Amino acid sequence: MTSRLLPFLSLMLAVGIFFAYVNPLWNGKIAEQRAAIAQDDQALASAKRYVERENQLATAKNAIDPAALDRLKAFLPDSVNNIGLILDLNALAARSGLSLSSIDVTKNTAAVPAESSLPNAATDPIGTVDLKISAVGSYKALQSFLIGAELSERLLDVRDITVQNSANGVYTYQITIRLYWLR
Amino acid sequence: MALPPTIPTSFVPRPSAAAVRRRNDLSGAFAFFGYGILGFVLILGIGIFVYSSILASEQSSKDAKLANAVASIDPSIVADFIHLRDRLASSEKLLDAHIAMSNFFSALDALIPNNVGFTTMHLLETDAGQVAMNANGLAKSFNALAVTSDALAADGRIKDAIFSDIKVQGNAVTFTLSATLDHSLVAFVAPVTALEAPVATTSSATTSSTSSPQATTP
Repeated sequence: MTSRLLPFLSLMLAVGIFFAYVNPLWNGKIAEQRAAIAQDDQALASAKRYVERENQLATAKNAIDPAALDRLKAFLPDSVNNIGLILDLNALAARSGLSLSSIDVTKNTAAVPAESSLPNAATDPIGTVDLKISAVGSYKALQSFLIGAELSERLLDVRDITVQNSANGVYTYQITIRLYWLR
Repeated sequence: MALPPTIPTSFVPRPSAAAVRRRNDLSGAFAFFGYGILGFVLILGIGIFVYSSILASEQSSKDAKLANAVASIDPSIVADFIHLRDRLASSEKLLDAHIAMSNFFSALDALIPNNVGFTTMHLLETDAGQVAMNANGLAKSFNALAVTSDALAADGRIKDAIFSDIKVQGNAVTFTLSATLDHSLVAFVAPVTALEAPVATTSSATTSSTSSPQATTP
């Protein structure tokens, strides 16, 4: 009788150990640990790629002439600074022989031309403002002003010009200039 | 009194020796199987416990490495790169779309005869990047207006030029002109020499124009 009971109890004990300890541990904690390690491996590989990419980008950035970067920052500044720009435009107008009578500022919702592939939503990195300028001056003065605005180091797009003649050869101008900045 | 050997001592039949041997073999095999399975499961349990400990150690080691890697990432450097990328990409696109209306006025000076002029003119760049022109003008004669129309048609850069609202006032002719400007006419071409001044609009402002003030009323 004992010779049969003990092996039977051993078998039952083995089954109990398997289902109460081995199987839950394998499918539970060990599976979670393996998954976590796999994720860590992926994250470490990504971190390695990140470091390599960061080094590449740092090398590429260092290869750019700092003066060129400064010019690029002036071309598309980090802030609107429309007051400074108005002063500059006023100075340009004065040099060109144009007399500014008023400047109005209009904030835009549409940032970039429609054909541009830049995102036009809240994620758009470019901000825009329109300056509406009223001015008086000769035709040559207008041309000189336009050329100055087009060649300015800060990007200025003359988007709208209305010219009205007068009998004395002095014109009235309504000019809309769009300026940009990087948000 | 002793029983003779031919008389059985019990009514229960005594098993044969072969049957007893078979039953003992089966009991032994079952015992071997039961103990074997128990031993196997015990070894398996110990192995899994050790394996779990190794995995826990490996995981904590990798977590520590990952934490170091994350700590070594400077978010400001990442932000700088993103900002520079945005600046480069946006600047390129904006520069591609940059227009120079002064080119149009220079072209107009060359195309329009002296005896034709404009009293009002409106140039508008649409969001699609096209520049539309609407103007009211005065020509000294109808022939002068015809010459202007021919010149615009021959040049081709002032497209869809439509003269309308034509009225003869004595010898002069008033008209309205609507047209679309070809992109090549207003496309910005970067100067060969670099701009000197670092401040916006303070540079190149003195660029001279050789155009005559042709837009005066004739």
